[in-house]
Amino acid sequence: MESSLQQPERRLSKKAVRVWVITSILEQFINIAVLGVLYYLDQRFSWPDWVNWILIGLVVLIVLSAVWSIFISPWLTYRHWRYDVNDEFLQLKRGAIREVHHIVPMTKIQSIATKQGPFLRKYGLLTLTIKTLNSEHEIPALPEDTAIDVRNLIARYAKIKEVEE
Amino acid sequence: MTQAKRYHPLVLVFQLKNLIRNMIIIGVYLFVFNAGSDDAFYTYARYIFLGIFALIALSYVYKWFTHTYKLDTGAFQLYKGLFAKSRRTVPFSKIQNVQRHTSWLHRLFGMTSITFETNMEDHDDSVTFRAVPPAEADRLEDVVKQHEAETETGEAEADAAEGDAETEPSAPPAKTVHFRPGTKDHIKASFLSLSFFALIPVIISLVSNVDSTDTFNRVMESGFVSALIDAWWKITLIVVLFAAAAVIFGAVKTILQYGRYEIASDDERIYITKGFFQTSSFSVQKSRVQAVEYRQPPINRWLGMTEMRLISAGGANAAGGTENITSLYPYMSTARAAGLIEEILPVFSITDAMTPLPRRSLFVRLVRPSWVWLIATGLLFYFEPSPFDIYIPWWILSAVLLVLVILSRLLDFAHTRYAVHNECIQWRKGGWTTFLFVTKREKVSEMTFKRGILQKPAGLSTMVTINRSNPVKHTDIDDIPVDSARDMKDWYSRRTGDILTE
Repeated sequence: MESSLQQPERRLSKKAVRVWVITSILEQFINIAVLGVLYYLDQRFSWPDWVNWILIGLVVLIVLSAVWSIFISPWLTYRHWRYDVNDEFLQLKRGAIREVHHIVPMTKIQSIATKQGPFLRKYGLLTLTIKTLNSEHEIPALPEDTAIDVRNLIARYAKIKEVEE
Repeated sequence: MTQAKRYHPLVLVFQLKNLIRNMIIIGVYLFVFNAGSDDAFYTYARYIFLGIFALIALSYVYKWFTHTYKLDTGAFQLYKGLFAKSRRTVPFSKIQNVQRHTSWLHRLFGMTSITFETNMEDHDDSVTFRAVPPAEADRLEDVVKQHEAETETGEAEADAAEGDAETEPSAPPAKTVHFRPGTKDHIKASFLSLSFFALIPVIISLVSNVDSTDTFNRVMESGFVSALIDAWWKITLIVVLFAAAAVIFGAVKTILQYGRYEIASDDERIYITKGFFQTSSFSVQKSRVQAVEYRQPPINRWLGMTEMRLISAGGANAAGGTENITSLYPYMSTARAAGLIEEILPVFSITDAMTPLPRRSLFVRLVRPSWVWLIATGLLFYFEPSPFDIYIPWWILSAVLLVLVILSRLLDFAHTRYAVHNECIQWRKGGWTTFLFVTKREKVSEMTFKRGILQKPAGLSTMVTINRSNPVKHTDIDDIPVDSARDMKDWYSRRTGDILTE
């Protein structure tokens, strides 16, 4: 029998990498700021010794997570994210280290929404949120017009509901 | 039935009973254990307790006055509120299963309770009648069933299912009884029910008592042998008596629970009834069964018995009942269980031709770090516990745990098997307790495949199915070959052929 499932091929916008890098940098700045305040308080009120050690541990953690989330993760995520829509199934595939492949029948999709934060807007990108009765999925950072197309496509295919038994 | 009705007034009695049951511990604490206490804390606490009790009881009365229900064409209409009114519509077509529970209190008043479970998106979605006369319960159930039958045959909904009290439902189709436990089953169940084991500590403590004081004195006083025989005679007697008591205890419990147990079905539905004094019943439309799960704890596996569970989309607990009735008779022989499924739900029939996992899966499973063991070892190392005042070095406990973990993984590997046949997918897994899960393609509402860092080089994959249930049922099988995973994807992609669309 012919399978209607091809490996998903469509990719996210290349600009997504930039958005993720920027948001990661911002997050790390916030982390550093919080840590800075803690360090200041530590010095000012001479907190016990073990607090110092915890702070040093946090610095190491922040450095590691900054390296990962600014220099590695965005590229890997972009490289490995694939999705596809046909009249029967929505497919989402992602993950460099741990690959996850979702297969969602169109008839089970209940709603679909678009979402746009300030950085996504700056680069003309949209995130799609797809809900079924049992789960929720996201396609992050699609170019605006593609996102609208995909949304309309899913909306059209998903209009057909199966008889729920 | 165009007029909305109040619920039966006896509902109040049952709500009061639940309220008392929920508050009795605090009540006893305040009024019995600390009855003599003049402490200000207890005095105030008593007043507050009584106040809360009265308020809740009053709120029940208020609710009884303001909550009404009505059956109209194809739906329950539930009304509430005095000033701000609200109406909730529960279409019959959304009802997943029907449960009835008759407790001793229901029996006293000649009442029963009935719950229509749905699986709609909002939380508070089942329709419960805490107390209705059995005749009214029958009528409600018939109206719902009638509606199902009519939509099934494709008649227009509008002129069908008027739901009038006067419309007698057409003669119900003949029910076939598939299973009723016989004396042999009762005996097996009595021996197996765990109450049997609960008495073991009692026996041990008694025996050790006889041993330590009585025997010891006698040995000192008279001849050693005669004393020992004497003591043994006593011990044997006590053991026999207790074993008998345990079996009788188990038998009574079994008969109360499964005395009138029955699994029946007609063309449309499956009916499960159980209980002797307190009865519960459950009925579900066959086409709404999402999956069947077979569970075998080690003892049951050695004795060739299986516990079967029907997974349906509605919630599974009858009102006021804690017993989960969707699990079928737990002491059924495996062959009988398979035969039963063949009879009542042939679409979920299982095949014996299942594929075991390849050897490389075992390797991956043994290499995978065991978080339980790592964390437990960390804790053991740190706390160095000595249970029962016996000193055991922490690394021995850790090693024992490691052996258990490895053994469980070996067993799990040996038990795991899977098969895709026609429209069904089934797999078995589990180390100590094994599970066999069967579902149909059209009931799988989503599939996920995962490949972790260890699985990728070995060419293995984890498969997850999602079934509608309450809560949503995720079931997975680890470390199947990628080729099989691809076959499963293809199998799932042909789903579109199975389903009816609106």
